[in-house]
Amino acid sequence: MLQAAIRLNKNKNVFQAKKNDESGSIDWELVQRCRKGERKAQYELYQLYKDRVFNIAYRMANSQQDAEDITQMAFVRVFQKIDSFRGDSAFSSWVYRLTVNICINHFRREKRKKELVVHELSELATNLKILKTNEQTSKMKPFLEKAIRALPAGYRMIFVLYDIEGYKHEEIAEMMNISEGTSKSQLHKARKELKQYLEPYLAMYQSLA
Amino acid sequence: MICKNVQKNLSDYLEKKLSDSLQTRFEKHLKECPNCGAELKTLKMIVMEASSFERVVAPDSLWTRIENELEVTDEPFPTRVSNAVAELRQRLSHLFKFPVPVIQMAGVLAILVVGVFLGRTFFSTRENVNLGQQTAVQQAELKLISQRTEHYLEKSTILFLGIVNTEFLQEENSDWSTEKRVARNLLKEAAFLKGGLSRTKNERVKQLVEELELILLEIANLEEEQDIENIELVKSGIDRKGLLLKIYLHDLNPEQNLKSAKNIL
Ligand SMILES: [Zn+2]
Repeated sequence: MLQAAIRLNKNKNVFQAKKNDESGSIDWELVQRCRKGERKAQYELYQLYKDRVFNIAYRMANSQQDAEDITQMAFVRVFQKIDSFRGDSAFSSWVYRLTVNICINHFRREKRKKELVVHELSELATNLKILKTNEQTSKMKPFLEKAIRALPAGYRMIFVLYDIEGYKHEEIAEMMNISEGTSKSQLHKARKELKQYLEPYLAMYQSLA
Repeated sequence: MICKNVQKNLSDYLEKKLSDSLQTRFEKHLKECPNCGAELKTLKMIVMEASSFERVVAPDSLWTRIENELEVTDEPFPTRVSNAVAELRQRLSHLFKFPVPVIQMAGVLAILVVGVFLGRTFFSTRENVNLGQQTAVQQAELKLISQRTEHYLEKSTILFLGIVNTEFLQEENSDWSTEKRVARNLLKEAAFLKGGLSRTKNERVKQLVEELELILLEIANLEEEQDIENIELVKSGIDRKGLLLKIYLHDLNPEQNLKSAKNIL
């Protein structure tokens, strides 16, 4: 089931990426119209990429407000910089690259204290016991969200892109201007840190699942 | 099998990227070793939960926000830049003699930024001062200070451009010794200029020199170890002060620019 879930997620992603990019000619025409500042074209382009961009931002920020701000910044930047898109990569990867860039710059300054995160997690556990909702499958999600948010921006991004959004290391390497090897090792680092945060709640999770 | 090796490669095991024989040996070890078994369970849980987050949807109002922001900068960027470049070239032509390599390397946009600085502060004050009665000595001093101020502004700008346009700092890329050295030299220059500028009553220019000085100080004091975050602080300082009119920077190539900053300075 786990393998299936992963595969499903990956396929979904590949499919969407292909859908946008195989129609490269359409995209290119759209890009040209955007370059002229045609608002309707900009809106079309926004429609094509907004969900991907918004999801990346949302998973990085774990906050609706921040995700909206980042998405806004990303698209404004896309339209302002669209002249510098040379067509040597897929347009989609160029868009995601800008997004990733903005996300990382947005969160890089911020430092979360580990103790604070540990405290937040234990509070969450207390509240969950009180709440006792019916759906059991996603009980761990709020914990994971909090723990992800505690990772440093760099490898949080990689975790979000690989494990949540389903990109391949190859794609991540291109988006983040790093090597595939770095992408892999940083993912490992991220997962390891998440494990440390979540281990205390594992028993609880298993009793629920 | 050593637990350490198993745990290090758990991700690959989970994604079935190991060779068949390794995969089998891992399986065997994981069944027998409670520690590694627990590790695997946690990892599985994380990966599964992560891959099944629900998709979120951007609210409809978001496009309106983007559109509103775009309205502000709607004039096509190339037109904006070429107009500004043409105008500034004209204004700068008799005042500046940029060495050609600087123009090539930092690009016209760097000049633009310098130009905007100077256009806002320097030209107006210079004209005012020229109206007054001055001795030859005072005029000579003024001339020297203007020249050195121009130089200071130009070098600071190139330095900042390099930093602002450095994105995705990799660990191996964290040698800021050149930038720090340049910043230290510019700080010395700033000290000299401040004295001169207060004598010649160029308050606005002096203020600009001081603002730049604060940023330079941050650059000069960068700790090698915490570079990445500190650089971000420096960048945000530059942003906050609006010292670089970022609107003109869109087209600059980050790598090229950092290199050029390093070469020039
Ligand atoms: Zn073991």
